[in-house]
Amino acid sequence: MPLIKASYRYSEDSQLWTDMKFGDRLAFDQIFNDHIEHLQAYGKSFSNDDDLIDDCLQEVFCRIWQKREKLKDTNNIRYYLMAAFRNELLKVLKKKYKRYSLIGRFMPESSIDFNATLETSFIEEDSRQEQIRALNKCFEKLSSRQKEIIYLKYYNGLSLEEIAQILALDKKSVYNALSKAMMILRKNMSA
Amino acid sequence: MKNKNNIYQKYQVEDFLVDESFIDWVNGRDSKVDWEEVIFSFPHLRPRSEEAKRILQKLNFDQEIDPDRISKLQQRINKQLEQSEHSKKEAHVVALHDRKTYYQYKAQRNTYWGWIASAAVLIVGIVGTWFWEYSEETAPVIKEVPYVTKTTKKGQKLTTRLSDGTIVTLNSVSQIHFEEIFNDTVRYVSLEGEAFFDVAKDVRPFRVKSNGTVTTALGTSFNIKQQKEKVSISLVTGKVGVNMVSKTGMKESTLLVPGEQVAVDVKDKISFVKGKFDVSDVLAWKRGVLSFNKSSNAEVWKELEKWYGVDLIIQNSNIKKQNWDYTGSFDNESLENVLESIGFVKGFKFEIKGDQVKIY
Repeated sequence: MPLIKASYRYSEDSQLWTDMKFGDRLAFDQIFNDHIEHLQAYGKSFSNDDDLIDDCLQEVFCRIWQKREKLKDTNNIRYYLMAAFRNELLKVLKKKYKRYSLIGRFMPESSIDFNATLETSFIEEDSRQEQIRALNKCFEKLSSRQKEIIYLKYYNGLSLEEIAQILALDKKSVYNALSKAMMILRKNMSA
Repeated sequence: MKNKNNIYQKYQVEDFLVDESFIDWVNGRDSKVDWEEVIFSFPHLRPRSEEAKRILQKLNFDQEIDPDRISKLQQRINKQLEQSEHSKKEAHVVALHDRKTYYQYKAQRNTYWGWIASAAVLIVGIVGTWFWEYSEETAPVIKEVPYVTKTTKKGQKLTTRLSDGTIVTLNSVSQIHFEEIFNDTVRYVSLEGEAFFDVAKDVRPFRVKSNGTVTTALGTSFNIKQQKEKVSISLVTGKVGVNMVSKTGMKESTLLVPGEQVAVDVKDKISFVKGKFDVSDVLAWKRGVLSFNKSSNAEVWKELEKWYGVDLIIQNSNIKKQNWDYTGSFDNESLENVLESIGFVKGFKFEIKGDQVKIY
Protein backbone atom coordinates (compact mmCIF):
# COMPACT_ATOMS: atom_id res chain seq x y z
CA MET A 1 0.00 0.00 0.00
CA PRO A 2 1.73 3.19 -1.13
CA LEU A 3 1.55 6.01 1.35
CA ILE A 4 0.69 8.70 -1.17
CA LYS A 5 -1.93 7.14 -3.38
CA ALA A 6 -2.08 10.12 -5.62
CA SER A 7 1.62 10.61 -6.08
CA TYR A 8 2.75 11.36 -9.60
CA ARG A 9 5.82 12.63 -11.37
CA TYR A 10 6.45 16.31 -10.82
CA SER A 11 9.21 16.35 -13.40
CA GLU A 12 6.75 16.22 -16.26
CA ASP A 13 4.59 19.05 -14.96
CA SER A 14 6.54 21.85 -16.50
CA GLN A 15 6.28 20.40 -20.01
CA LEU A 16 2.61 19.46 -19.63
CA TRP A 17 1.71 22.91 -18.38
CA THR A 18 3.58 24.59 -21.24
CA ASP A 19 1.80 22.38 -23.78
CA MET A 20 -1.52 23.36 -22.24
CA LYS A 21 -0.59 27.04 -22.40
CA PHE A 22 0.08 26.68 -26.09
CA GLY A 23 -3.43 25.39 -26.66
CA ASP A 24 -2.91 21.63 -26.43
CA ARG A 25 -6.34 20.40 -25.43
CA LEU A 26 -5.04 16.91 -24.66
CA ALA A 27 -2.66 18.37 -22.12
CA PHE A 28 -5.57 20.25 -20.55
CA ASP A 29 -7.63 17.07 -20.31
CA GLN A 30 -4.72 15.22 -18.80
CA ILE A 31 -4.27 17.89 -16.16
CA PHE A 32 -7.97 17.59 -15.34
CA ASN A 33 -7.87 13.80 -15.08
CA ASP A 34 -4.65 13.71 -13.07
CA HIS A 35 -5.89 15.99 -10.32
CA ILE A 36 -9.67 16.08 -10.23
CA GLU A 37 -10.18 13.32 -7.65
CA HIS A 38 -7.75 14.99 -5.37
CA LEU A 39 -9.32 18.39 -5.74
CA GLN A 40 -12.79 17.02 -5.05
CA ALA A 41 -11.49 15.39 -1.88
CA TYR A 42 -9.81 18.63 -0.84
CA GLY A 43 -13.10 20.45 -1.41
CA LYS A 44 -14.98 17.93 0.68
CA SER A 45 -12.82 18.87 3.64
CA PHE A 46 -14.40 22.32 3.55
CA SER A 47 -17.97 21.56 2.55
CA ASN A 48 -20.32 18.63 2.13
CA ASP A 49 -22.04 20.34 -0.81
CA ASP A 50 -20.71 18.36 -3.79
CA ASP A 51 -22.55 20.57 -6.30
CA LEU A 52 -20.99 23.70 -4.93
CA ILE A 53 -17.55 22.08 -5.03
CA ASP A 54 -18.03 21.04 -8.65
CA ASP A 55 -19.26 24.54 -9.58
CA CYS A 56 -16.03 25.98 -8.22
CA LEU A 57 -13.94 23.38 -10.03
CA GLN A 58 -15.76 24.16 -13.27
CA GLU A 59 -14.99 27.84 -12.79
CA VAL A 60 -11.31 27.18 -12.03
CA PHE A 61 -10.71 24.86 -15.00
CA CYS A 62 -12.62 27.07 -17.46
CA ARG A 63 -10.65 30.09 -16.33
CA ILE A 64 -7.37 28.21 -16.74
CA TRP A 65 -8.20 27.24 -20.32
CA GLN A 66 -9.52 30.64 -21.28
CA LYS A 67 -6.56 32.51 -19.83
CA ARG A 68 -4.01 29.82 -20.62
CA GLU A 69 -1.71 32.07 -22.64
CA LYS A 70 -1.34 34.49 -19.79
CA LEU A 71 -0.75 32.00 -16.98
CA LYS A 72 2.50 31.83 -15.10
CA ASP A 73 4.72 28.81 -15.62
CA THR A 74 4.71 26.14 -12.94
CA ASN A 75 6.55 22.93 -12.23
CA ASN A 76 4.00 21.80 -9.64
CA ILE A 77 0.53 21.69 -11.17
CA ARG A 78 -0.99 20.11 -8.06
CA TYR A 79 0.05 23.10 -5.98
CA TYR A 80 -1.18 25.55 -8.59
CA LEU A 81 -4.59 23.91 -8.86
CA MET A 82 -5.04 23.52 -5.10
CA ALA A 83 -4.20 27.17 -4.55
CA ALA A 84 -6.54 28.40 -7.29
CA PHE A 85 -9.34 26.07 -6.22
CA ARG A 86 -9.05 26.93 -2.53
CA ASN A 87 -9.25 30.61 -3.38
CA GLU A 88 -12.38 30.13 -5.44
CA LEU A 89 -14.10 27.75 -3.01
CA LEU A 90 -13.48 29.95 0.03
CA LYS A 91 -14.72 33.00 -1.83
CA VAL A 92 -17.98 31.24 -2.67
CA LEU A 93 -18.38 29.75 0.81
CA LYS A 94 -17.84 33.13 2.46
CA LYS A 95 -20.46 34.67 0.21
CA LYS A 96 -22.86 31.89 1.13
CA TYR A 97 -22.33 32.23 4.87
CA LYS A 98 -22.73 35.99 4.68
CA ARG A 99 -26.10 35.51 3.15
CA TYR A 100 -27.45 32.91 5.56
CA SER A 101 -26.28 33.84 9.01
CA LEU A 102 -25.65 36.91 11.08
CA ILE A 103 -22.37 35.63 12.50
CA GLY A 104 -21.36 34.59 9.04
CA ARG A 105 -22.12 38.06 7.81
CA PHE A 106 -19.48 39.70 9.94
CA MET A 107 -17.04 36.87 10.45
CA PRO A 108 -17.29 34.70 7.36
CA GLU A 109 -13.91 33.15 8.13
CA SER A 110 -15.16 31.62 11.36
CA SER A 111 -17.72 29.46 9.60
CA ILE A 112 -15.17 27.84 7.32
CA ASP A 113 -13.55 24.79 8.80
CA PHE A 114 -11.20 22.22 7.42
CA ASN A 115 -12.38 18.72 8.30
CA ALA A 116 -10.80 15.58 6.97
CA THR A 117 -10.65 12.17 8.57
CA LEU A 118 -7.74 9.80 8.47
CA GLU A 119 -8.15 6.67 6.44
CA THR A 120 -9.22 3.63 8.45
CA SER A 121 -10.50 1.17 5.88
CA PHE A 122 -7.30 -0.64 4.92
CA ILE A 123 -6.31 -1.71 8.41
CA GLU A 124 -7.55 -5.11 9.42
CA GLU A 125 -5.97 -5.91 12.75
CA ASP A 126 -8.17 -4.90 15.65
CA SER A 127 -5.37 -3.51 17.73
CA ARG A 128 -4.28 -1.13 14.98
CA GLN A 129 -7.88 -0.12 14.28
CA GLU A 130 -8.02 0.94 17.89
CA GLN A 131 -4.84 2.97 17.50
CA ILE A 132 -6.08 4.72 14.40
CA ARG A 133 -9.39 5.52 16.05
CA ALA A 134 -7.49 7.10 18.93
CA LEU A 135 -5.33 8.99 16.49
CA ASN A 136 -8.38 10.23 14.63
CA LYS A 137 -9.96 11.43 17.84
CA CYS A 138 -6.84 13.37 18.61
CA PHE A 139 -6.58 14.65 15.05
CA GLU A 140 -10.11 16.02 15.29
CA LYS A 141 -9.11 18.12 18.27
CA LEU A 142 -6.47 19.98 16.28
CA SER A 143 -7.32 23.41 14.94
CA SER A 144 -8.67 23.74 11.41
CA ARG A 145 -5.42 25.32 10.33
CA GLN A 146 -3.26 22.58 11.85
CA LYS A 147 -5.35 19.91 10.17
CA GLU A 148 -5.07 21.57 6.81
CA ILE A 149 -1.32 22.00 7.12
CA ILE A 150 -0.94 18.29 7.97
CA TYR A 151 -3.12 17.40 5.00
CA LEU A 152 -1.14 19.59 2.60
CA LYS A 153 2.28 18.58 3.93
CA TYR A 154 2.06 14.82 4.53
CA TYR A 155 -0.69 13.79 2.17
CA ASN A 156 -0.07 16.14 -0.77
CA GLY A 157 3.64 16.57 -0.32
CA LEU A 158 3.62 20.34 -0.78
CA SER A 159 6.60 22.26 0.52
CA LEU A 160 6.29 24.54 3.52
CA GLU A 161 6.88 27.44 1.15
CA GLU A 162 3.91 26.44 -0.98
CA ILE A 163 1.68 25.86 2.04
CA ALA A 164 2.59 29.31 3.34
CA GLN A 165 1.55 30.76 -0.04
CA ILE A 166 -1.78 28.94 -0.07
CA LEU A 167 -2.71 29.91 3.48
CA ALA A 168 -1.30 33.44 3.19
CA LEU A 169 1.00 32.89 6.17
CA ASP A 170 4.74 33.15 6.53
CA LYS A 171 6.83 30.00 6.39
CA LYS A 172 7.86 30.23 10.02
CA SER A 173 4.30 30.13 11.34
CA VAL A 174 3.47 27.19 9.10
CA TYR A 175 6.46 25.37 10.54
CA ASN A 176 5.46 26.25 14.10
CA ALA A 177 1.86 25.15 13.62
CA LEU A 178 3.04 21.90 12.09
CA SER A 179 5.53 21.07 14.81
CA LYS A 180 2.99 21.89 17.55
CA ALA A 181 0.40 19.65 15.89
CA MET A 182 2.84 16.78 15.51
CA MET A 183 3.86 17.10 19.13
CA ILE A 184 0.21 16.68 20.19
CA LEU A 185 -0.32 13.73 17.86
CA ARG A 186 2.81 11.97 19.03
CA LYS A 187 2.09 12.40 22.70
CA ASN A 188 -1.29 10.86 22.08
CA MET A 189 0.08 7.93 20.16
CA SER A 190 2.73 6.87 22.65
CA ALA A 191 0.33 7.17 25.58
CA MET B 1 29.74 14.13 4.53
CA LYS B 2 29.88 13.07 8.17
CA ASN B 3 30.50 16.62 9.37
CA LYS B 4 27.54 17.84 7.47
CA ASN B 5 25.35 15.14 8.99
CA ASN B 6 26.42 15.91 12.54
CA ILE B 7 23.48 18.23 13.01
CA TYR B 8 21.18 15.21 12.97
CA GLN B 9 22.93 13.52 15.91
CA LYS B 10 20.57 15.03 18.46
CA TYR B 11 17.42 14.61 16.37
CA GLN B 12 14.34 13.56 18.34
CA VAL B 13 11.18 11.99 16.92
CA GLU B 14 9.56 15.44 16.74
CA ASP B 15 12.45 16.78 14.70
CA PHE B 16 12.16 13.97 12.18
CA LEU B 17 8.42 14.54 11.87
CA VAL B 18 8.77 18.10 10.65
CA ASP B 19 11.96 17.74 8.58
CA GLU B 20 10.95 18.29 4.94
CA SER B 21 13.69 16.13 3.46
CA PHE B 22 12.89 13.30 5.90
CA ILE B 23 9.20 13.45 4.90
CA ASP B 24 10.20 13.36 1.23
CA TRP B 25 12.40 10.36 1.92
CA VAL B 26 9.66 8.42 3.76
CA ASN B 27 7.24 9.18 0.93
CA GLY B 28 9.65 7.91 -1.69
CA ARG B 29 10.38 11.27 -3.28
CA ASP B 30 13.80 12.75 -4.06
CA SER B 31 15.37 13.87 -0.82
CA LYS B 32 18.11 16.41 -0.25
CA VAL B 33 19.63 14.31 2.53
CA ASP B 34 20.81 10.74 2.30
CA TRP B 35 18.91 9.43 5.34
CA GLU B 36 20.16 5.87 4.89
CA GLU B 37 23.64 7.17 5.44
CA VAL B 38 22.70 9.44 8.35
CA ILE B 39 21.03 6.57 10.22
CA PHE B 40 23.86 4.23 9.32
CA SER B 41 26.45 6.53 10.85
CA PHE B 42 24.36 7.28 13.94
CA PRO B 43 22.68 3.97 14.86
CA HIS B 44 21.09 5.49 17.97
CA LEU B 45 18.80 7.43 15.61
CA ARG B 46 17.24 4.32 14.16
CA PRO B 47 14.46 3.76 16.77
CA ARG B 48 13.55 7.45 16.59
CA SER B 49 13.40 7.56 12.82
CA GLU B 50 11.42 4.32 12.78
CA GLU B 51 8.84 5.78 15.12
CA ALA B 52 8.59 8.95 13.05
CA LYS B 53 8.14 6.81 9.94
CA ARG B 54 5.31 4.84 11.60
CA ILE B 55 3.49 8.04 12.54
CA LEU B 56 3.88 9.55 9.08
CA GLN B 57 2.53 6.42 7.47
CA LYS B 58 -0.64 6.68 9.50
CA LEU B 59 -1.39 10.15 8.18
CA ASN B 60 -3.33 8.95 5.18
CA PHE B 61 -6.68 10.47 4.33
CA ASP B 62 -9.97 9.10 3.09
CA GLN B 63 -10.68 9.84 -0.54
CA GLU B 64 -13.89 8.81 -2.27
CA ILE B 65 -13.88 8.46 -6.02
CA ASP B 66 -17.03 8.83 -8.10
CA PRO B 67 -16.32 8.40 -11.82
CA ASP B 68 -19.84 9.49 -12.77
CA ARG B 69 -19.48 12.75 -10.97
CA ILE B 70 -16.13 13.38 -12.64
CA SER B 71 -17.36 12.70 -16.15
CA LYS B 72 -20.39 14.96 -15.60
CA LEU B 73 -18.12 17.75 -14.43
CA GLN B 74 -15.90 17.29 -17.45
CA GLN B 75 -18.89 17.54 -19.78
CA ARG B 76 -20.01 20.74 -18.10
CA ILE B 77 -16.56 22.25 -18.52
CA ASN B 78 -16.41 21.30 -22.20
CA LYS B 79 -19.84 22.79 -22.79
CA GLN B 80 -19.00 26.07 -21.07
CA LEU B 81 -15.75 26.40 -23.01
CA GLU B 82 -17.55 25.78 -26.28
CA GLN B 83 -20.20 28.38 -25.49
CA SER B 84 -17.67 31.00 -24.53
CA GLU B 85 -15.79 30.44 -27.81
CA HIS B 86 -19.04 31.29 -29.60
CA SER B 87 -19.96 34.27 -27.49
CA LYS B 88 -16.54 35.79 -28.04
CA LYS B 89 -17.38 36.19 -31.71
CA GLU B 90 -20.75 37.76 -30.94
CA ALA B 91 -19.56 40.03 -28.16
CA HIS B 92 -18.40 42.76 -30.51
CA VAL B 93 -21.88 43.32 -31.87
CA VAL B 94 -23.56 44.26 -28.60
CA ALA B 95 -22.32 47.55 -27.17
CA LEU B 96 -23.24 49.81 -30.05
CA HIS B 97 -25.32 52.49 -28.39
CA ASP B 98 -23.32 54.91 -26.34
CA ARG B 99 -24.10 54.82 -22.66
CA LYS B 100 -23.29 58.49 -22.15
CA THR B 101 -25.68 59.77 -24.75
CA TYR B 102 -28.34 57.53 -23.31
CA TYR B 103 -28.03 59.09 -19.87
CA GLN B 104 -27.90 62.62 -21.29
CA TYR B 105 -31.10 61.85 -23.06
CA LYS B 106 -32.71 60.54 -19.88
CA ALA B 107 -31.52 63.53 -17.86
CA GLN B 108 -33.01 66.00 -20.30
CA ARG B 109 -36.35 64.30 -20.00
CA ASN B 110 -36.52 64.36 -16.25
CA THR B 111 -33.84 66.19 -14.32
CA TYR B 112 -35.46 65.76 -10.92
CA TRP B 113 -35.51 61.97 -11.05
CA GLY B 114 -32.07 62.11 -12.53
CA TRP B 115 -30.72 63.75 -9.39
CA ILE B 116 -32.34 61.23 -7.10
CA ALA B 117 -31.04 58.41 -9.22
CA SER B 118 -27.52 59.84 -9.15
CA ALA B 119 -27.62 60.19 -5.37
CA ALA B 120 -28.89 56.65 -5.00
CA VAL B 121 -26.19 55.34 -7.29
CA LEU B 122 -23.59 57.20 -5.25
CA ILE B 123 -24.79 55.71 -1.96
CA VAL B 124 -25.06 52.23 -3.37
CA GLY B 125 -21.62 52.74 -4.84
CA ILE B 126 -20.02 53.71 -1.55
CA VAL B 127 -21.67 50.89 0.39
CA GLY B 128 -20.93 48.48 -2.41
CA THR B 129 -17.28 49.41 -2.53
CA TRP B 130 -17.02 48.81 1.20
CA PHE B 131 -18.54 45.37 0.90
CA TRP B 132 -16.50 44.59 -2.14
CA GLU B 133 -13.29 45.48 -0.37
CA TYR B 134 -14.44 43.51 2.62
CA SER B 135 -14.90 40.40 0.57
CA GLU B 136 -11.84 40.86 -1.59
CA GLU B 137 -9.57 37.84 -1.71
CA THR B 138 -5.84 37.58 -1.32
CA ALA B 139 -4.10 38.09 -4.66
CA PRO B 140 -5.04 35.40 -7.18
CA VAL B 141 -2.27 33.07 -8.30
CA ILE B 142 -2.74 33.90 -11.95
CA LYS B 143 -0.09 36.26 -13.28
CA GLU B 144 0.27 37.58 -16.80
CA VAL B 145 3.30 37.04 -19.02
CA PRO B 146 3.72 39.16 -22.14
CA TYR B 147 3.75 37.25 -25.41
CA VAL B 148 4.80 38.34 -28.88
CA THR B 149 3.32 37.20 -32.17
CA LYS B 150 5.08 37.91 -35.50
CA THR B 151 3.26 37.34 -38.74
CA THR B 152 4.27 37.63 -42.37
CA LYS B 153 1.89 38.17 -45.28
CA LYS B 154 2.23 37.10 -48.88
CA GLY B 155 5.46 38.31 -50.42
CA GLN B 156 6.98 39.23 -47.04
CA LYS B 157 9.94 37.79 -45.16
CA LEU B 158 11.08 38.69 -41.70
CA THR B 159 14.17 38.16 -39.58
CA THR B 160 13.77 38.62 -35.85
CA ARG B 161 15.90 38.19 -32.75
CA LEU B 162 14.43 36.52 -29.67
CA SER B 163 15.30 37.47 -26.09
CA ASP B 164 17.93 34.70 -25.83
CA GLY B 165 19.76 35.80 -29.00
CA THR B 166 18.25 33.16 -31.26
CA ILE B 167 17.67 34.42 -34.79
CA VAL B 168 14.52 33.40 -36.60
CA THR B 169 13.91 33.97 -40.29
CA LEU B 170 10.25 33.75 -41.13
CA ASN B 171 9.14 32.85 -44.65
CA SER B 172 6.02 34.41 -46.15
CA VAL B 173 2.52 33.56 -44.82
CA SER B 174 3.93 32.29 -41.52
CA GLN B 175 3.59 33.07 -37.86
CA ILE B 176 5.59 32.58 -34.66
CA HIS B 177 4.40 33.09 -31.12
CA PHE B 178 6.72 33.28 -28.11
CA GLU B 179 7.32 34.81 -24.69
CA GLU B 180 8.79 38.31 -24.93
CA ILE B 181 11.36 37.30 -22.31
CA PHE B 182 11.83 33.55 -22.11
CA ASN B 183 11.24 31.94 -18.72
CA ASP B 184 13.91 30.20 -16.63
CA THR B 185 13.13 26.65 -17.62
CA VAL B 186 12.41 26.44 -21.33
CA ARG B 187 12.46 28.55 -24.51
CA TYR B 188 9.20 27.78 -26.22
CA VAL B 189 8.06 28.96 -29.64
CA SER B 190 5.03 27.91 -31.64
CA LEU B 191 5.15 28.06 -35.42
CA GLU B 192 2.73 28.03 -38.30
CA GLY B 193 4.23 28.02 -41.80
CA GLU B 194 7.98 27.99 -42.44
CA ALA B 195 10.93 29.37 -40.51
CA PHE B 196 14.67 28.93 -40.10
CA PHE B 197 16.04 28.91 -36.55
CA ASP B 198 19.61 29.75 -35.64
CA VAL B 199 19.43 28.83 -31.98
CA ALA B 200 21.68 30.60 -29.48
CA LYS B 201 23.56 28.30 -27.08
CA ASP B 202 21.87 28.23 -23.69
CA VAL B 203 21.24 25.74 -20.88
CA ARG B 204 17.47 26.02 -21.39
CA PRO B 205 16.17 23.73 -24.10
CA PHE B 206 14.72 25.43 -27.16
CA ARG B 207 11.42 23.94 -28.29
CA VAL B 208 9.40 24.65 -31.40
CA LYS B 209 5.85 23.39 -31.54
CA SER B 210 4.27 22.99 -34.95
CA ASN B 211 1.12 20.98 -35.62
CA GLY B 212 1.62 17.98 -33.34
CA THR B 213 5.42 18.04 -33.48
CA VAL B 214 7.80 19.43 -30.91
CA THR B 215 11.41 19.95 -31.96
CA THR B 216 13.90 20.31 -29.12
CA ALA B 217 17.38 21.75 -29.55
CA LEU B 218 20.16 23.19 -27.44
CA GLY B 219 22.35 25.22 -29.81
CA THR B 220 21.74 24.39 -33.45
CA SER B 221 20.25 25.63 -36.67
CA PHE B 222 17.35 24.00 -38.41
CA ASN B 223 14.46 24.69 -40.73
CA ILE B 224 10.81 23.82 -40.11
CA LYS B 225 8.17 23.87 -42.81
CA GLN B 226 4.55 23.24 -41.93
CA GLN B 227 1.74 22.98 -44.46
CA LYS B 228 -1.54 21.81 -42.96
CA GLU B 229 -0.85 18.41 -41.37
CA LYS B 230 2.57 18.06 -42.97
CA VAL B 231 5.66 19.28 -41.15
CA SER B 232 9.20 18.83 -42.33
CA ILE B 233 12.18 19.53 -40.11
CA SER B 234 15.64 19.84 -41.62
CA LEU B 235 18.73 20.01 -39.43
CA VAL B 236 21.72 22.03 -40.61
CA THR B 237 24.06 21.98 -37.58
CA GLY B 238 24.02 20.48 -34.08
CA LYS B 239 21.46 17.97 -32.87
CA VAL B 240 17.71 18.02 -32.37
CA GLY B 241 15.03 15.66 -31.09
CA VAL B 242 11.58 15.63 -32.63
CA ASN B 243 8.57 14.52 -30.60
CA MET B 244 5.27 13.87 -32.35
CA VAL B 245 1.83 13.58 -30.79
CA SER B 246 -1.25 12.70 -32.83
CA LYS B 247 -4.74 13.99 -32.06
CA THR B 248 -5.56 10.63 -30.53
CA GLY B 249 -2.60 10.82 -28.16
CA MET B 250 -0.23 8.51 -30.04
CA LYS B 251 3.42 9.41 -29.44
CA GLU B 252 6.60 9.01 -31.50
CA SER B 253 10.05 10.54 -31.36
CA THR B 254 13.23 10.63 -33.41
CA LEU B 255 16.69 12.21 -33.35
CA LEU B 256 18.24 14.09 -36.27
CA VAL B 257 21.90 14.51 -37.18
CA PRO B 258 23.14 17.33 -39.44
CA GLY B 259 22.02 16.93 -43.05
CA GLU B 260 19.04 14.82 -42.01
CA GLN B 261 15.44 15.73 -42.61
CA VAL B 262 12.23 14.27 -41.25
CA ALA B 263 8.85 14.69 -42.93
CA VAL B 264 5.97 14.19 -40.52
CA ASP B 265 2.28 13.77 -41.22
CA VAL B 266 0.22 14.06 -38.06
CA LYS B 267 -3.51 13.49 -38.14
CA ASP B 268 -5.12 10.73 -36.11
CA LYS B 269 -2.03 8.65 -36.77
CA ILE B 270 1.59 9.62 -37.08
CA SER B 271 3.63 8.80 -40.14
CA PHE B 272 7.13 10.05 -40.73
CA VAL B 273 10.04 9.45 -43.10
CA LYS B 274 13.65 10.37 -42.50
CA GLY B 275 16.19 11.11 -45.19
CA LYS B 276 19.07 13.27 -46.38
CA PHE B 277 18.32 16.70 -47.75
CA ASP B 278 20.05 19.26 -49.90
CA VAL B 279 20.89 22.23 -47.65
CA SER B 280 21.04 24.69 -50.53
CA ASP B 281 17.64 23.50 -51.68
CA VAL B 282 15.82 23.66 -48.34
CA LEU B 283 17.36 26.95 -47.30
CA ALA B 284 17.20 28.58 -50.73
CA TRP B 285 14.25 30.69 -49.64
CA LYS B 286 16.40 32.33 -46.98
CA ARG B 287 18.88 33.61 -49.55
CA GLY B 288 16.14 34.91 -51.82
CA VAL B 289 16.34 31.94 -54.15
CA LEU B 290 13.01 30.61 -55.28
CA SER B 291 13.45 26.94 -55.96
CA PHE B 292 11.23 24.13 -57.14
CA ASN B 293 12.06 20.48 -56.78
CA LYS B 294 9.76 18.13 -58.70
CA SER B 295 6.81 20.35 -57.86
CA SER B 296 3.27 19.86 -59.14
CA ASN B 297 1.59 22.78 -60.92
CA ALA B 298 -0.60 23.49 -57.90
CA GLU B 299 2.53 23.75 -55.74
CA VAL B 300 4.19 26.08 -58.23
CA TRP B 301 1.20 28.45 -58.33
CA LYS B 302 0.90 28.49 -54.57
CA GLU B 303 4.61 29.15 -54.06
CA LEU B 304 4.57 31.99 -56.60
CA GLU B 305 1.57 33.60 -54.90
CA LYS B 306 3.29 33.43 -51.51
CA TRP B 307 6.69 34.54 -52.79
CA TYR B 308 5.60 37.56 -54.80
CA GLY B 309 2.40 38.40 -52.91
CA VAL B 310 0.13 38.14 -55.93
CA ASP B 311 -3.09 36.35 -56.89
CA LEU B 312 -2.86 34.02 -59.87
CA ILE B 313 -5.86 33.48 -62.10
CA ILE B 314 -5.45 30.44 -64.33
CA GLN B 315 -7.56 30.85 -67.42
CA ASN B 316 -5.82 28.26 -69.54
CA SER B 317 -7.66 24.95 -69.06
CA ASN B 318 -4.84 22.94 -70.69
CA ILE B 319 -2.43 24.20 -68.05
CA LYS B 320 -4.87 23.24 -65.29
CA LYS B 321 -5.04 19.65 -66.53
CA GLN B 322 -1.28 19.18 -66.87
CA ASN B 323 0.67 17.12 -64.38
CA TRP B 324 3.92 18.93 -63.68
CA ASP B 325 7.12 17.66 -62.19
CA TYR B 326 8.86 20.98 -62.30
CA THR B 327 12.40 21.60 -61.14
CA GLY B 328 14.20 24.92 -61.34
CA SER B 329 15.58 27.77 -59.27
CA PHE B 330 15.55 31.54 -59.57
CA ASP B 331 18.10 33.68 -57.79
CA ASN B 332 16.45 36.97 -56.83
CA GLU B 333 14.54 37.15 -60.12
CA SER B 334 11.50 39.28 -60.85
CA LEU B 335 8.08 37.66 -61.19
CA GLU B 336 8.08 38.57 -64.87
CA ASN B 337 11.32 36.68 -65.56
CA VAL B 338 10.18 33.67 -63.56
CA LEU B 339 6.84 33.42 -65.35
CA GLU B 340 8.52 33.94 -68.68
CA SER B 341 10.87 31.04 -68.18
CA ILE B 342 8.27 28.64 -66.76
CA GLY B 343 5.81 29.72 -69.46
CA PHE B 344 8.37 29.03 -72.15
CA VAL B 345 8.76 25.43 -71.02
CA LYS B 346 5.14 24.71 -70.14
CA GLY B 347 3.57 26.75 -72.91
CA PHE B 348 1.52 29.57 -71.39
CA LYS B 349 1.33 33.33 -71.55
CA PHE B 350 0.68 35.80 -68.75
CA GLU B 351 -0.34 39.31 -67.93
CA ILE B 352 0.58 41.18 -64.72
CA LYS B 353 -1.76 43.91 -63.50
CA GLY B 354 -0.85 45.16 -60.02
CA ASP B 355 -1.11 42.12 -57.78
CA GLN B 356 -3.37 40.21 -60.16
CA VAL B 357 -1.73 37.83 -62.62
CA LYS B 358 -3.61 36.20 -65.47
CA ILE B 359 -2.28 32.94 -66.93
CA TYR B 360 -3.65 32.06 -70.34
